[in-house]
Amino acid sequence: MIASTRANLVTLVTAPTVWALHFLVSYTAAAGYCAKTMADARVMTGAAWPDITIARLVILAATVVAVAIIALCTRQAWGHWRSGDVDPPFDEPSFEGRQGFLGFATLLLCGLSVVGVIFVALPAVFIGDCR
Amino acid sequence: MTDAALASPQDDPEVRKGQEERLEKVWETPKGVRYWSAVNNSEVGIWYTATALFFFLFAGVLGLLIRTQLAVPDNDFLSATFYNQVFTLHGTAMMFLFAIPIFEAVAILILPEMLGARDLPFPRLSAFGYWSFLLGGVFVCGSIFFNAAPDGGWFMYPPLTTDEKQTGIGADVWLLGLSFIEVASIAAAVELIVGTLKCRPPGMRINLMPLYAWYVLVVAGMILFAFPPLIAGDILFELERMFGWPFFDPAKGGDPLLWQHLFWIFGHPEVYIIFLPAIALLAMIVPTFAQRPILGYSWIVLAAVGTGFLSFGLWVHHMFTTGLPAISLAFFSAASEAVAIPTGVQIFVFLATLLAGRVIYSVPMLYAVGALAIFVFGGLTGVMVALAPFDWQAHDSHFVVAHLHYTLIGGMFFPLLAGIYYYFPFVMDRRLSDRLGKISFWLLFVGFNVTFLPMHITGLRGMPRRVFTYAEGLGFDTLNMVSTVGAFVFAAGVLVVAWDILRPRGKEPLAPRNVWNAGTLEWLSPNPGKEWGVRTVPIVSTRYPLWDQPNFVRDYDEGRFYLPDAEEGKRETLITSVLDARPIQCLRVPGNTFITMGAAFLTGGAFIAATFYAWTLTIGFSIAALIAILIWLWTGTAIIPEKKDKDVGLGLRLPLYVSGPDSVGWWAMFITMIGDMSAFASLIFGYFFYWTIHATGFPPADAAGPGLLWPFTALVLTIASWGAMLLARRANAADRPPSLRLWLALSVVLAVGGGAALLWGPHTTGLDPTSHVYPATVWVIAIWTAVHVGVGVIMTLYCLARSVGSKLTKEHDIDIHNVVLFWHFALITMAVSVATIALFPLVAR
Repeated sequence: MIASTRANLVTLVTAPTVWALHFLVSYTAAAGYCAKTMADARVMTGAAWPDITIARLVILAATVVAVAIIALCTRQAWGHWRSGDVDPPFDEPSFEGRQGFLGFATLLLCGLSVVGVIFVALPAVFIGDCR
Repeated sequence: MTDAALASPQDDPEVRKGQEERLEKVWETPKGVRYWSAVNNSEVGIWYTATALFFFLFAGVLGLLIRTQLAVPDNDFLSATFYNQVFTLHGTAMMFLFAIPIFEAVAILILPEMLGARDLPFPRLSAFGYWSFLLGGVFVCGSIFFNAAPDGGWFMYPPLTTDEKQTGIGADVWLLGLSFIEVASIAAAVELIVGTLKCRPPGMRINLMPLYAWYVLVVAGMILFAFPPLIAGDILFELERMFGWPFFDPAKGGDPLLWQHLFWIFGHPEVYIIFLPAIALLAMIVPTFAQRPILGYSWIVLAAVGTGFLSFGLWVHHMFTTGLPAISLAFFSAASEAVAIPTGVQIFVFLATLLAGRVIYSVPMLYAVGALAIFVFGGLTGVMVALAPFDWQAHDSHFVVAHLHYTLIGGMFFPLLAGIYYYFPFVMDRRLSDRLGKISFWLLFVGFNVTFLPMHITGLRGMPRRVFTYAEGLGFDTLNMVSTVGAFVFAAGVLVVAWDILRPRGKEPLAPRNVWNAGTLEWLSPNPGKEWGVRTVPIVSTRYPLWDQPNFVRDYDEGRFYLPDAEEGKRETLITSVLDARPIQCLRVPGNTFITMGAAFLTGGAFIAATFYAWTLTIGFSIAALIAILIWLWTGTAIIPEKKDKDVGLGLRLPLYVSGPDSVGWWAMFITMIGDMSAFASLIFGYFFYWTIHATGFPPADAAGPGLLWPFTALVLTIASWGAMLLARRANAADRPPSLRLWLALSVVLAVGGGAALLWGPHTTGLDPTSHVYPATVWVIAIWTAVHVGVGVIMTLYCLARSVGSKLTKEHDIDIHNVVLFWHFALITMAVSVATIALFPLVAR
């Protein structure tokens, strides 16, 4: 369903689903780690804030994987878009029209998703502890 | 149409007259008291819309009470406690009883005809949803007349709302009344998803679907993932309020923040669940009044799908001041900025379409333009509050009140009014007045801005939300008075709209057919409309068939497409494939009945009785509701047709009965279970949430878990029960009824054992759910799972009865396929439960 020569509703939402999973992994890694390490320190003792290098590495790995999968989706969507040799607005009542439309919409969603992934990864570039 | 089609029986006017008479008889709206037994989308849609608009007026009056109280400093117009009820109910009713239901209402009303379908696939489910909504809404709103309305704010934060001394029965009214309505919303979502995917007219491939349908698909999908977390939260909340299970009580290891998470995982997507369907109306209105196809169809799909996803990554921006680590806030801040991209794309698409077309200025367009102006402003303040440091300053101030009203009124209310002015002739056969429309627009537009623009400043000057009064001389006085004056101007605008809708029309002429010269299918029907919905299910090959397909209206009127007749006197519509809309089935849709109303009222009775802790009554209503639902299923679903297939016109024969993944029932089950799984995932999230907030000791060192023996016994028995169901399905396919019944019976025995074993685990190790959040969490997961197994048992017994009653056979096997599908999900639920409550403690640190 996901890797297919024919575009479908699953290929359409693969990239944003990857965004959602990346978001979930990033948030769970950082928030879970901080919650766990600071659970006893609700009243701060003046000690240093726990470092989140581990969470940042997880986020880095997740980001690389997510961008790679979205790149694959993009390549596939590009193929779908181009295969039918149809032009916008993709309203032909044919397989090619459908394929071109789904391919193009998927391509747009890939673009949005990769921007979303990078946006969500950025905090981990700048924030190094649980403050 | 082709020449071949022209030489069809439809050439004979007498034939057509006969067909029309039969169609009219089949789809006739019942008269007298039986009118209320109607389940057809046009009746239910109108009731739904009218009821939602009534709740809007009610909540609007509450809004005026708020503004009156705040008009002058130190006002004593309302008491503090009554003010709490008023603002809580204002928000609650606007959100749950107006903004969300109106989406369902309008979609039920216009979607079928937009798709050239006679009805949605589950009309009785729509009716059930409507009656649930009506009862739940009256219950929640009515509470204020008994001084018993919820008063803890529309998001009901504990520990205030779990404290029974500070919040009385109102909190229970909120939790149970709204849970009941949420179930109805999920039912509507299932109906709309299946309707959009499977009830499109032949030829309407996915790239030709009206944009409204794309939005409906996305929004209904969002409901499936957004509402269940709130239902899960409601369950935890009620268990704490009723039985003292300490989910949100820090003294016993709980955490009120879990409620905030669950509420806003619902609450933020919900904002888009409200916004997208209203924007969808604009996506229909803008092309019509630009008299050209939408520019950038694919971009709108990007925007709808993209917003649908991103909106789930925003929830913590409501929780920026709860003390979460900066990195957590930053993720949500980033996603909140990102969602502005697809939102902006839609607005640019509309503007581009208007620029490229020749715009006809009309009342719907006036409202559409007003909507864009207000919404863009609200969107920009949204980008401001999405930045955590700004939010820390503005949080819980009137700035946020101003922001949310700009987005909701600009993003939802104005587009809805544009939609009401646009679609009124479609529903009521007559136009609303242009003159009154313009008057109401300017009253609303000016009144709105006068009310809420100053409120930004009131908020920045420091006036908090939800306070019933303020002292003189703090800089709030004039601003508040201006807001109050604006609110009454706005209310005057609402009254003008209400009058325009309700005024007697006497001899006013009917609107001409396709009054706006639109291009989409819902404008096919002549005025006055017929109760059959569509004369014939058309073949579509363009996005705007009324503009682009030659002779389309004539062929339609002469019934030259599919299903021009109702020979057997049954209500029918076409089912087509998901991507290409190839016809695959002629679906018989069920007709009018009181059973759905009965089932809804009995279910509602159970929720209402529980509010008053009247347990005997609750159990009585629950059993009665179950019986009503079983009667409904037995008499109204998976009906065996009198013949295998039928000629649906144009030489096409389609089956009348299909099962498994081809059938709409299977899809409905699958989609429902997706929603069910997201509620379950929320409970599991709760377990791990508690694990993260306890540095050591979740499970606490001294607490016995549910052990390994009983949970694993439960798992093994459930696997066996599921296996027996697979064998039952195979026996049925091989046409061996005795072994089918044997396997079904065995499955029941095994499943009962499995469910009982899962509950026996925590019982036998003495886990006391009131002592600490750990045992409470284990219990709630175990009970949730056992209830699912129990529902599976009822379904299996139902199959057994259907087999004995010869309604489940080799050829007619919808029931067994759907029940096996349920069991797949029940097994996943059991496996995840056991892994969480029995295995995780072994590795937890």
